[in-house]
Amino acid sequence: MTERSDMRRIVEKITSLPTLPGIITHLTHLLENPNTTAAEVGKEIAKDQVLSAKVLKLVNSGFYGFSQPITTIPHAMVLLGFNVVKTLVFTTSVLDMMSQSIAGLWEHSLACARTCGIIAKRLDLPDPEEISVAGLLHDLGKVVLQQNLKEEFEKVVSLVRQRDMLFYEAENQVMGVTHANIGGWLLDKWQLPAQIVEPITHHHAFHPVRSNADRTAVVHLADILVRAEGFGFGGDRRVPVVSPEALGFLQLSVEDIREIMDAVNDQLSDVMRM
Amino acid sequence: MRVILLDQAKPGDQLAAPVTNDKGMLILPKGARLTMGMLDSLRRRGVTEVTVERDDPNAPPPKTTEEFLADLDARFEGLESNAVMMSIKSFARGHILARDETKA
Repeated sequence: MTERSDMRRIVEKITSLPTLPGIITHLTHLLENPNTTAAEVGKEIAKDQVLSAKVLKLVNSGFYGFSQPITTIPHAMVLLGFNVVKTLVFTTSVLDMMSQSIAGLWEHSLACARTCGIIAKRLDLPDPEEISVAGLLHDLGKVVLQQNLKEEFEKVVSLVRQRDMLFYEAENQVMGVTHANIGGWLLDKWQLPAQIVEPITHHHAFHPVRSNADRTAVVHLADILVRAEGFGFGGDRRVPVVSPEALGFLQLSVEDIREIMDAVNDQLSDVMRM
Repeated sequence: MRVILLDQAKPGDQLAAPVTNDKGMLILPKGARLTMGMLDSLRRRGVTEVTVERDDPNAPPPKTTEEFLADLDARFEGLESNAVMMSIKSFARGHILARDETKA
């Protein structure tokens, strides 16, 4: 088995991912200047038409649940906040590959994002759109695995099939790390905000003393509820057990879960059920 | 209804969702039947995916309520002693049965 530190090095050296657009370097410089406004940043992103079209397509994919279409990057910046737009700019190339990596993973991710938004708003947590985007990206590591570590991916998939295991348990057995670690490393390398990265890294290993524990608990619970309902497919057949600590941390009762699941069921189309 | 890459779309496919540009302007409405000219035009405009009504001949038939319930049982196999997980399962089961009633 590859050592954990070796695995991290492999992920960080991944070069076959679509290269980050040149605009990112320029954006990073802009952001180093404290006088830069959100409008200036929005304008800069909007200059790259292909990139902004992709980002607008993502923001209009329904992952956070606004009813009106968002038609410009500056508009997206105002409604979703800079962190969400920046994260989508960085991850759009990986998300592009999601529907081809595991059939149903895109639908699972979209449903998870919507569920995160529903839970976050119910609990009145700040920045629900950031929590939604963490939900959208929580399985990004599976795409990286499928695209860049094909041998390990095949081993994991065959273990999941043979032993009816959870995907992350099989990953742990094969590699000693999971898609949650892999996704987190990549997003960390891109210097995306910790409040978006940490819930992704720990969504299968909630711990109340970690920073961003509330957001991590939301992504953890949303992933499980979406699997329970059968929206999309995350690569395995079973539903992981919900962490009692996560439920306790969010102070959610079983009755609260029923109401959340009813809301999710009302908002998501049957087309996404698999 | 399926989201497919534009390259996989064929003349005669019917759109199950409108195609819009990055500003949200309508390019083709839902229900439009694609022609070779439309496909070329969409390609020129940088559209990469469309949602079509086409049925995939290799796709399995839609699942029945019984199949959805059997899948649900399989998803929760081995979790019978976990009260919270069993509650979650019963809520999901309620949604499957409610959909069945709506269909009927």
